[in-house]
Amino acid sequence: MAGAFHAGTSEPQGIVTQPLLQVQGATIVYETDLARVVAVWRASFDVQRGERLMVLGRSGCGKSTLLKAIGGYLKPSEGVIALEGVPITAPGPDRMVVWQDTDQLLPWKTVRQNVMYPMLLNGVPRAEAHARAQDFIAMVDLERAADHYPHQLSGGMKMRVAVARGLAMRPAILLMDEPFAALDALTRGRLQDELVRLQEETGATVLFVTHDIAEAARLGTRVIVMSPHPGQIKANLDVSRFASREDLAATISGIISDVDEVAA
Amino acid sequence: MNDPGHYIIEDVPPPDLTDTVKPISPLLRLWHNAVFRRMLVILVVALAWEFGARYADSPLLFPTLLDTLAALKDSLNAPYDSLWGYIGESLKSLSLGFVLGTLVASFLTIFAVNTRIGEDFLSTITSAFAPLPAVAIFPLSLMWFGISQESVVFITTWATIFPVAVAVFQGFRGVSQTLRFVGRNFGLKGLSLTARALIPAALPSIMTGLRSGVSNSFRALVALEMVIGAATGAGGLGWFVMSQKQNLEIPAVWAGILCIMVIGLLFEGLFILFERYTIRRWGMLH
Repeated sequence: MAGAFHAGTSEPQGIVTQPLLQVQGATIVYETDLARVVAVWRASFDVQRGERLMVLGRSGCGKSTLLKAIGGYLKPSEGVIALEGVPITAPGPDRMVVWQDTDQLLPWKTVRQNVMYPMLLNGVPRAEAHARAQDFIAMVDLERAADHYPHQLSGGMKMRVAVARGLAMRPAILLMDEPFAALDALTRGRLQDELVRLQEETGATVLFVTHDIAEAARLGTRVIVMSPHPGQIKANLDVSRFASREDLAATISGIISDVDEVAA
Repeated sequence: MNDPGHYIIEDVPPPDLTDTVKPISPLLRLWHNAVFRRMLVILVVALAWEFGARYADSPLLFPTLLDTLAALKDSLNAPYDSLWGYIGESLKSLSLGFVLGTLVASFLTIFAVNTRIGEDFLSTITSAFAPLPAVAIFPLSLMWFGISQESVVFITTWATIFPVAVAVFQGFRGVSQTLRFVGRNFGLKGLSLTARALIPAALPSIMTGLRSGVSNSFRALVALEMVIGAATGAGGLGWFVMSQKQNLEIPAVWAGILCIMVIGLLFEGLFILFERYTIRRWGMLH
């Protein structure tokens, strides 16, 4: 079992192509009024096209910080984060983000307008934006709510809109920051299945941050495990090498308790 | 009944929708209508006024509502020196001051939102000026601008600036980090982020600020017109009320006051109307 995962960058898979996203030795530091905190320490990994990469760790392990740096909201103080070979310097619609908060939709726009808006701001012609919004709203099964305002939707529906908005933009990578953590268990399970289906239909690349082992094991095609203080990558697991999702979850649990022992 | 042994699936037919959702009675529906209820309040107050004044029986000190309305009609229809002129004069000073004040408040807010020292400046200045009624700086404006329209507009501008600046600033501050991140994710930054994300998100506070700006400004204006009109023999509604008192046209004094109140209510109505099609519709105001 130990050979089924390895720390650090993924091994070459035979075909030499540039990874979609490269994180190389990225250290991310943020400063408060009182202290300088190293949130992520020398993280390195690649994301290939079409992957569902899960970044798993306890709260405070720097996984959300890492996502914000890939999103362009934070700059690494050391190392490089590059999308298609180009270092990331600012937020942009090629890395659409789905946040956990239900207030990520613009309350003054309807579901359809919310999905269309980033496209319209970024030069997609109105007719095409409309058609694409229509497709993705249908894919997340919200056609009947298309002209509703966000406050008329449930938490799960809002999350679906955010996913539709992210995917309709056809980003190079979709970043998801614990998107389902605030939802009830039944809704979460449904949205997890939906996400896998949507990702498989569209072939999108997804980086998904979570603190839930079961979620990581259920959704990922690759799982990165992080440990806190400072945030470090401890393992990088290729899901296809595991016999079953249960097997994967058990391995992840093992890694996490090893990490905790070292910390204690 | 479906019974696989270890559990039971209940097989109750769904209810007829007409049984579960019943419309409420028309009378109750009317009672739920805010406009209707407010009209009712006005009606009750009007009746109390009319009969109270009749009971007091002192036309000089307390004219009845009907006498006041008659005086209002006469003043509005007067061929020379009609009340409309006074209303126009007041609205002119008010709207000029409101627009200028809102502009200044916007600059102050932009400064306060973008720099820490700007924030310190705005909070310190507003705390210092909060206890000071706008009319209190009237002597200064008299010295700077003389007895003129400029003096009045200076005061209405002044009275608008701080309530608007404080509320708009609070509104921007209250916009969630997530919404800012979302805006930047779409490629918005600087002014486009402000215009397309922050302003709509802060609209409830902005509306509150504009409202208190208008009423603060209007209050100062009426008081001011009473003072300045005595010197120039001209002015807006404040001067109308004052001059009618000097002529002992008491029902007209009451008509002027009523007119000020109605204008205040109309402003309120405009704000409520605007809110209904914006923040209320978007669920940002309950």
